[in-house]
Amino acid sequence: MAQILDRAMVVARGAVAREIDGNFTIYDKENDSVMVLNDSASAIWRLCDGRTGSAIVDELAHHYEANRNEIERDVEAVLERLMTSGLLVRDVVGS
Amino acid sequence: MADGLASSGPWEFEVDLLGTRIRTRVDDPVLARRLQHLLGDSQALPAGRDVESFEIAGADGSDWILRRNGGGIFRTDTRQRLVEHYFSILNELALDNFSGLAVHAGVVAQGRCAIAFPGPSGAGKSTLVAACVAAGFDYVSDEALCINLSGDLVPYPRPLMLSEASRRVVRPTEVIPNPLPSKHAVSPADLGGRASHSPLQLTHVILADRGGALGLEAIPSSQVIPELLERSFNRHGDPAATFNLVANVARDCRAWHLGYTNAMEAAGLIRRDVPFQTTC
Repeated sequence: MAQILDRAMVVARGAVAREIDGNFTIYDKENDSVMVLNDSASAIWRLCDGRTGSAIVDELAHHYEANRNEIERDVEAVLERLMTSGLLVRDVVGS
Repeated sequence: MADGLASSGPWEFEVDLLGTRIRTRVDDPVLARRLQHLLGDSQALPAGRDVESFEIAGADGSDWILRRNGGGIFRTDTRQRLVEHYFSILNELALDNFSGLAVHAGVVAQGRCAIAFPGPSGAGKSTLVAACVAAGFDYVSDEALCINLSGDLVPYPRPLMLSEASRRVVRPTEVIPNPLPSKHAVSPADLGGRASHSPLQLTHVILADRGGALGLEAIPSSQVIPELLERSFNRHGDPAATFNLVANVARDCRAWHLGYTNAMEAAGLIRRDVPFQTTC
Protein backbone atom coordinates (compact mmCIF):
# COMPACT_ATOMS: atom_id res chain seq x y z
CA MET A 1 0.00 0.00 0.00
CA ALA A 2 2.68 2.42 1.03
CA GLN A 3 4.43 2.10 -2.31
CA ILE A 4 1.61 3.45 -4.46
CA LEU A 5 0.66 6.11 -1.92
CA ASP A 6 4.22 7.42 -1.95
CA ARG A 7 4.21 8.04 -5.69
CA ALA A 8 3.40 11.34 -7.31
CA MET A 9 1.01 10.81 -10.22
CA VAL A 10 -0.26 12.82 -13.14
CA VAL A 11 -2.77 12.28 -15.89
CA ALA A 12 -1.33 10.36 -18.84
CA ARG A 13 -0.90 12.28 -22.10
CA GLY A 14 -3.38 10.05 -23.90
CA ALA A 15 -6.17 10.59 -21.38
CA VAL A 16 -8.97 13.06 -22.10
CA ALA A 17 -11.23 13.79 -19.15
CA ARG A 18 -14.68 15.37 -19.11
CA GLU A 19 -16.60 16.23 -15.96
CA ILE A 20 -20.36 15.79 -16.20
CA ASP A 21 -22.59 16.34 -13.18
CA GLY A 22 -19.58 16.12 -10.88
CA ASN A 23 -18.28 12.82 -12.21
CA PHE A 24 -15.42 12.30 -14.62
CA THR A 25 -15.49 10.21 -17.76
CA ILE A 26 -12.03 9.46 -19.11
CA TYR A 27 -11.25 8.64 -22.72
CA ASP A 28 -7.98 6.82 -23.33
CA LYS A 29 -6.69 7.70 -26.80
CA GLU A 30 -4.02 5.02 -26.69
CA ASN A 31 -6.46 2.16 -26.15
CA ASP A 32 -9.61 3.80 -27.56
CA SER A 33 -11.47 3.00 -24.36
CA VAL A 34 -13.67 4.88 -21.92
CA MET A 35 -13.89 4.72 -18.13
CA VAL A 36 -16.75 6.32 -16.20
CA LEU A 37 -15.68 7.21 -12.66
CA ASN A 38 -18.00 7.17 -9.68
CA ASP A 39 -18.18 9.91 -7.04
CA SER A 40 -15.21 8.82 -4.94
CA ALA A 41 -12.99 7.99 -7.92
CA SER A 42 -13.85 11.38 -9.43
CA ALA A 43 -12.81 13.11 -6.22
CA ILE A 44 -9.47 11.28 -6.36
CA TRP A 45 -8.97 11.98 -10.09
CA ARG A 46 -9.52 15.67 -9.47
CA LEU A 47 -6.49 15.66 -7.13
CA CYS A 48 -4.11 13.79 -9.46
CA ASP A 49 -2.09 16.88 -10.31
CA GLY A 50 1.37 15.67 -9.39
CA ARG A 51 0.83 15.23 -5.67
CA THR A 52 1.47 11.88 -3.99
CA GLY A 53 -1.20 9.37 -3.07
CA SER A 54 -0.62 10.21 0.59
CA ALA A 55 -1.20 13.88 -0.12
CA ILE A 56 -4.46 12.92 -1.84
CA VAL A 57 -5.47 10.95 1.27
CA ASP A 58 -4.63 13.98 3.45
CA GLU A 59 -6.75 16.26 1.29
CA LEU A 60 -9.74 13.92 1.24
CA ALA A 61 -9.48 13.21 4.98
CA HIS A 62 -9.55 16.96 5.55
CA HIS A 63 -12.78 17.37 3.59
CA TYR A 64 -14.69 14.16 4.27
CA GLU A 65 -15.82 12.71 7.57
CA ALA A 66 -14.61 9.21 6.87
CA ASN A 67 -12.18 6.88 8.55
CA ARG A 68 -8.65 7.64 7.31
CA ASN A 69 -7.90 3.94 6.80
CA GLU A 70 -10.97 3.62 4.60
CA ILE A 71 -9.91 6.64 2.58
CA GLU A 72 -6.44 5.17 2.17
CA ARG A 73 -7.88 1.88 0.92
CA ASP A 74 -10.13 3.73 -1.56
CA VAL A 75 -7.31 5.93 -2.84
CA GLU A 76 -4.96 3.00 -3.20
CA ALA A 77 -7.54 0.94 -5.11
CA VAL A 78 -8.51 3.79 -7.43
CA LEU A 79 -4.91 4.82 -8.15
CA GLU A 80 -3.96 1.20 -8.80
CA ARG A 81 -6.80 0.81 -11.30
CA LEU A 82 -6.14 4.11 -13.04
CA MET A 83 -2.42 3.34 -13.33
CA THR A 84 -3.07 -0.18 -14.60
CA SER A 85 -5.42 1.29 -17.19
CA GLY A 86 -2.73 3.72 -18.29
CA LEU A 87 -4.78 6.79 -17.39
CA LEU A 88 -2.36 7.89 -14.66
CA VAL A 89 1.43 7.79 -14.85
CA ARG A 90 4.18 8.44 -12.36
CA ASP A 91 5.23 12.08 -12.30
CA VAL A 92 8.93 11.79 -13.05
CA VAL A 93 9.39 15.55 -12.81
CA GLY A 94 7.79 15.95 -9.40
CA SER A 95 9.14 12.79 -7.77
CA MET B 1 -49.60 15.80 -61.12
CA ALA B 2 -50.41 16.41 -57.48
CA ASP B 3 -47.48 14.26 -56.32
CA GLY B 4 -45.03 16.22 -58.45
CA LEU B 5 -44.38 13.41 -60.92
CA ALA B 6 -44.78 13.96 -64.65
CA SER B 7 -47.52 12.09 -66.51
CA SER B 8 -45.01 10.17 -68.62
CA GLY B 9 -41.78 8.49 -67.61
CA PRO B 10 -39.09 7.94 -66.78
CA TRP B 11 -39.84 9.59 -63.46
CA GLU B 12 -37.12 11.45 -61.60
CA PHE B 13 -36.87 12.99 -58.14
CA GLU B 14 -34.18 14.33 -55.86
CA VAL B 15 -33.80 14.19 -52.10
CA ASP B 16 -31.20 15.30 -49.61
CA LEU B 17 -29.96 12.87 -46.98
CA LEU B 18 -27.61 14.42 -44.40
CA GLY B 19 -26.14 16.70 -47.06
CA THR B 20 -25.82 14.10 -49.80
CA ARG B 21 -27.96 14.87 -52.82
CA ILE B 22 -29.61 11.76 -54.25
CA ARG B 23 -31.14 11.79 -57.74
CA THR B 24 -33.23 8.78 -58.71
CA ARG B 25 -34.79 7.93 -62.08
CA VAL B 26 -37.43 5.20 -62.17
CA ASP B 27 -39.18 3.69 -65.18
CA ASP B 28 -42.18 2.52 -63.14
CA PRO B 29 -44.71 5.15 -61.99
CA VAL B 30 -46.05 3.09 -59.08
CA LEU B 31 -42.58 2.51 -57.66
CA ALA B 32 -41.58 6.11 -58.34
CA ARG B 33 -44.55 7.37 -56.33
CA ARG B 34 -43.83 4.92 -53.51
CA LEU B 35 -40.16 5.91 -53.25
CA GLN B 36 -41.02 9.58 -53.37
CA HIS B 37 -43.57 9.02 -50.61
CA LEU B 38 -41.05 7.13 -48.47
CA LEU B 39 -38.40 9.80 -48.97
CA GLY B 40 -40.85 12.68 -48.71
CA ASP B 41 -39.59 13.76 -45.29
CA SER B 42 -36.10 14.24 -46.69
CA GLN B 43 -37.10 16.60 -49.47
CA ALA B 44 -37.54 19.70 -47.35
CA LEU B 45 -33.87 19.71 -46.36
CA PRO B 46 -31.44 22.09 -48.09
CA ALA B 47 -29.58 20.84 -51.11
CA GLY B 48 -26.31 19.10 -50.44
CA ARG B 49 -23.09 19.34 -52.38
CA ASP B 50 -22.66 15.85 -53.78
CA VAL B 51 -24.98 14.23 -56.27
CA GLU B 52 -25.37 10.50 -56.49
CA SER B 53 -27.53 9.20 -59.34
CA PHE B 54 -29.58 6.03 -59.33
CA GLU B 55 -31.61 4.42 -62.09
CA ILE B 56 -34.26 1.82 -61.41
CA ALA B 57 -35.73 -0.24 -64.23
CA GLY B 58 -38.25 -3.04 -64.15
CA ALA B 59 -41.43 -1.76 -65.69
CA ASP B 60 -41.08 -4.20 -68.60
CA GLY B 61 -41.90 -7.12 -66.28
CA SER B 62 -38.43 -8.67 -66.25
CA ASP B 63 -36.02 -8.41 -63.31
CA TRP B 64 -35.74 -5.22 -61.30
CA ILE B 65 -32.40 -3.51 -61.95
CA LEU B 66 -30.67 -0.80 -59.88
CA ARG B 67 -27.76 1.17 -61.35
CA ARG B 68 -25.66 3.68 -59.40
CA ASN B 69 -23.94 6.52 -61.24
CA GLY B 70 -24.38 4.58 -64.46
CA GLY B 71 -22.15 1.81 -63.12
CA GLY B 72 -22.74 -1.03 -60.65
CA ILE B 73 -25.80 -3.17 -61.12
CA PHE B 74 -28.04 -4.88 -58.58
CA ARG B 75 -30.57 -7.27 -60.09
CA THR B 76 -33.45 -9.01 -58.29
CA ASP B 77 -36.79 -10.56 -59.15
CA THR B 78 -38.79 -8.77 -56.44
CA ARG B 79 -39.58 -5.11 -56.06
CA GLN B 80 -39.33 -5.34 -52.27
CA ARG B 81 -35.75 -6.60 -52.36
CA LEU B 82 -34.82 -3.85 -54.79
CA VAL B 83 -36.35 -1.22 -52.49
CA GLU B 84 -34.54 -2.67 -49.47
CA HIS B 85 -31.22 -2.67 -51.34
CA TYR B 86 -31.78 0.86 -52.65
CA PHE B 87 -32.40 2.22 -49.15
CA SER B 88 -29.43 0.27 -47.80
CA ILE B 89 -27.12 1.99 -50.30
CA LEU B 90 -28.67 5.40 -49.61
CA ASN B 91 -28.15 4.88 -45.89
CA GLU B 92 -24.50 3.94 -46.36
CA LEU B 93 -23.89 6.94 -48.61
CA ALA B 94 -25.59 9.41 -46.28
CA LEU B 95 -23.74 8.25 -43.17
CA ASP B 96 -20.37 7.94 -44.95
CA ASN B 97 -20.62 11.51 -46.20
CA PHE B 98 -21.86 13.04 -42.94
CA SER B 99 -19.09 15.08 -41.37
CA GLY B 100 -20.46 15.25 -37.83
CA LEU B 101 -21.13 12.59 -35.25
CA ALA B 102 -23.44 9.78 -36.36
CA VAL B 103 -24.48 7.26 -33.72
CA HIS B 104 -26.45 4.09 -34.40
CA ALA B 105 -29.69 5.05 -32.66
CA GLY B 106 -33.40 5.54 -33.03
CA VAL B 107 -34.61 9.11 -32.48
CA VAL B 108 -38.07 10.55 -31.87
CA ALA B 109 -39.23 13.98 -30.76
CA GLN B 110 -41.91 15.82 -28.90
CA GLY B 111 -41.99 19.42 -30.00
CA ARG B 112 -38.34 20.46 -30.11
CA CYS B 113 -37.19 17.88 -27.55
CA ALA B 114 -35.59 14.77 -29.00
CA ILE B 115 -35.06 11.36 -27.42
CA ALA B 116 -32.38 8.97 -28.68
CA PHE B 117 -32.21 5.21 -28.19
CA PRO B 118 -28.65 4.11 -29.06
CA GLY B 119 -28.20 0.44 -29.80
CA PRO B 120 -26.76 -2.09 -32.23
CA SER B 121 -28.54 -3.65 -35.20
CA GLY B 122 -31.20 -6.08 -34.12
CA ALA B 123 -31.70 -4.46 -30.71
CA GLY B 124 -35.22 -3.37 -31.58
CA LYS B 125 -34.58 0.33 -32.26
CA SER B 126 -36.84 0.55 -35.31
CA THR B 127 -39.67 -1.24 -33.52
CA LEU B 128 -39.37 1.04 -30.51
CA VAL B 129 -39.24 4.12 -32.73
CA ALA B 130 -42.27 2.91 -34.69
CA ALA B 131 -44.14 2.31 -31.44
CA CYS B 132 -43.23 5.82 -30.24
CA VAL B 133 -44.47 7.31 -33.54
CA ALA B 134 -47.69 5.33 -33.19
CA ALA B 135 -47.94 6.70 -29.62
CA GLY B 136 -47.76 10.29 -30.84
CA PHE B 137 -44.06 11.18 -30.94
CA ASP B 138 -42.67 12.76 -34.11
CA TYR B 139 -40.26 10.71 -36.19
CA VAL B 140 -36.60 11.76 -36.51
CA SER B 141 -34.75 8.56 -37.47
CA ASP B 142 -34.77 4.82 -36.93
CA GLU B 143 -31.10 4.58 -37.85
CA ALA B 144 -28.88 7.39 -36.63
CA LEU B 145 -28.55 10.20 -34.14
CA CYS B 146 -26.70 12.83 -36.18
CA ILE B 147 -24.97 15.77 -34.50
CA ASN B 148 -23.13 18.29 -36.63
CA LEU B 149 -19.82 19.85 -35.62
CA SER B 150 -21.68 22.78 -34.03
CA GLY B 151 -23.47 20.35 -31.75
CA ASP B 152 -26.86 20.66 -33.46
CA LEU B 153 -29.06 17.64 -34.03
CA VAL B 154 -29.59 16.98 -37.75
CA PRO B 155 -32.75 14.97 -38.55
CA TYR B 156 -32.24 11.87 -40.65
CA PRO B 157 -35.81 10.86 -41.52
CA ARG B 158 -35.06 7.96 -43.82
CA PRO B 159 -37.99 5.51 -44.16
CA LEU B 160 -38.37 3.20 -41.19
CA MET B 161 -37.17 -0.29 -42.03
CA LEU B 162 -39.47 -2.70 -40.26
CA SER B 163 -39.54 -6.46 -40.22
CA GLU B 164 -42.89 -8.16 -40.45
CA ALA B 165 -42.71 -8.91 -36.71
CA SER B 166 -42.07 -5.23 -35.97
CA ARG B 167 -45.02 -4.18 -38.08
CA ARG B 168 -47.26 -6.59 -36.22
CA VAL B 169 -46.18 -5.11 -32.87
CA VAL B 170 -47.08 -1.62 -34.00
CA ARG B 171 -50.12 -2.42 -36.15
CA PRO B 172 -51.45 -5.78 -34.92
CA THR B 173 -54.57 -5.64 -37.09
CA GLU B 174 -52.74 -4.94 -40.36
CA VAL B 175 -52.94 -7.61 -43.04
CA ILE B 176 -49.54 -8.08 -44.67
CA PRO B 177 -49.90 -9.88 -48.00
CA ASN B 178 -47.17 -12.36 -48.94
CA PRO B 179 -44.72 -11.36 -46.20
CA LEU B 180 -41.05 -11.75 -47.05
CA PRO B 181 -38.21 -12.25 -44.57
CA SER B 182 -36.68 -8.92 -45.55
CA LYS B 183 -37.60 -5.54 -44.11
CA HIS B 184 -40.38 -3.25 -45.30
CA ALA B 185 -39.79 0.44 -45.81
CA VAL B 186 -42.56 2.53 -44.26
CA SER B 187 -42.97 6.24 -43.74
CA PRO B 188 -44.08 7.75 -40.42
CA ALA B 189 -47.33 8.69 -42.18
CA ASP B 190 -47.89 4.99 -42.88
CA LEU B 191 -47.86 4.52 -39.09
CA GLY B 192 -50.28 7.37 -38.53
CA GLY B 193 -47.53 9.76 -37.47
CA ARG B 194 -45.30 12.40 -38.97
CA ALA B 195 -41.67 13.41 -39.20
CA SER B 196 -40.35 16.28 -37.12
CA HIS B 197 -39.39 19.39 -39.03
CA SER B 198 -38.61 21.52 -35.97
CA PRO B 199 -35.10 22.53 -34.96
CA LEU B 200 -34.39 19.86 -32.40
CA GLN B 201 -32.51 19.67 -29.13
CA LEU B 202 -31.46 16.27 -27.81
CA THR B 203 -32.80 16.26 -24.27
CA HIS B 204 -32.95 12.56 -23.39
CA VAL B 205 -30.89 9.45 -24.09
CA ILE B 206 -32.51 6.14 -23.22
CA LEU B 207 -30.50 2.93 -22.92
CA ALA B 208 -33.13 0.37 -23.84
CA ASP B 209 -32.92 -3.20 -22.61
CA ARG B 210 -35.33 -5.38 -24.54
CA GLY B 211 -36.24 -8.38 -22.46
CA GLY B 212 -36.01 -6.62 -19.11
CA ALA B 213 -38.92 -5.92 -16.78
CA LEU B 214 -40.93 -2.86 -17.81
CA GLY B 215 -39.49 0.17 -16.09
CA LEU B 216 -37.85 3.53 -16.67
CA GLU B 217 -35.08 4.64 -14.33
CA ALA B 218 -33.00 7.82 -14.34
CA ILE B 219 -29.24 7.14 -14.53
CA PRO B 220 -26.20 9.46 -14.45
CA SER B 221 -25.69 11.13 -17.83
CA SER B 222 -22.09 9.99 -18.00
CA GLN B 223 -23.27 6.39 -18.26
CA VAL B 224 -24.47 6.94 -21.82
CA ILE B 225 -21.02 8.02 -23.04
CA PRO B 226 -19.55 4.51 -23.54
CA GLU B 227 -22.70 3.40 -25.39
CA LEU B 228 -22.77 6.48 -27.64
CA LEU B 229 -19.08 6.02 -28.47
CA GLU B 230 -19.48 2.30 -29.06
CA ARG B 231 -22.38 2.94 -31.43
CA SER B 232 -20.86 5.81 -33.38
CA PHE B 233 -20.36 5.06 -37.06
CA ASN B 234 -17.54 7.47 -37.70
CA ARG B 235 -15.48 7.98 -34.54
CA HIS B 236 -12.28 6.52 -35.94
CA GLY B 237 -11.40 9.65 -37.92
CA ASP B 238 -10.76 11.70 -34.78
CA PRO B 239 -11.63 9.67 -31.67
CA ALA B 240 -10.76 12.40 -29.17
CA ALA B 241 -12.96 14.95 -30.97
CA THR B 242 -15.73 12.38 -31.10
CA PHE B 243 -15.37 11.80 -27.36
CA ASN B 244 -15.75 15.52 -26.74
CA LEU B 245 -18.85 15.72 -28.95
CA VAL B 246 -20.36 12.72 -27.18
CA ALA B 247 -19.49 14.19 -23.78
CA ASN B 248 -21.25 17.41 -24.80
CA VAL B 249 -24.31 15.41 -25.79
CA ALA B 250 -24.29 13.59 -22.44
CA ARG B 251 -23.76 16.82 -20.51
CA ASP B 252 -26.80 18.45 -22.12
CA CYS B 253 -29.29 15.61 -21.76
CA ARG B 254 -30.92 13.42 -19.15
CA ALA B 255 -30.20 9.71 -19.24
CA TRP B 256 -32.48 6.78 -18.60
CA HIS B 257 -32.47 3.01 -18.51
CA LEU B 258 -35.56 1.41 -20.03
CA GLY B 259 -36.51 -2.21 -19.53
CA TYR B 260 -39.27 -3.61 -21.72
CA THR B 261 -40.58 -6.54 -23.67
CA ASN B 262 -43.47 -4.92 -25.52
CA ALA B 263 -42.51 -1.86 -27.57
CA MET B 264 -45.98 -0.31 -27.40
CA GLU B 265 -45.98 -0.54 -23.60
CA ALA B 266 -42.50 0.99 -23.56
CA ALA B 267 -43.65 3.88 -25.77
CA GLY B 268 -46.57 4.52 -23.42
CA LEU B 269 -44.22 4.53 -20.43
CA ILE B 270 -41.85 6.98 -22.13
CA ARG B 271 -44.76 9.23 -23.03
CA ARG B 272 -46.01 9.16 -19.45
CA ASP B 273 -42.79 9.39 -17.44
CA VAL B 274 -40.15 11.25 -19.45
CA PRO B 275 -40.43 14.95 -18.61
CA PHE B 276 -40.32 17.46 -21.46
CA GLN B 277 -39.56 21.10 -20.93
CA THR B 278 -42.09 23.41 -22.48
CA THR B 279 -39.30 25.53 -23.87
CA CYS B 280 -37.95 22.93 -26.25
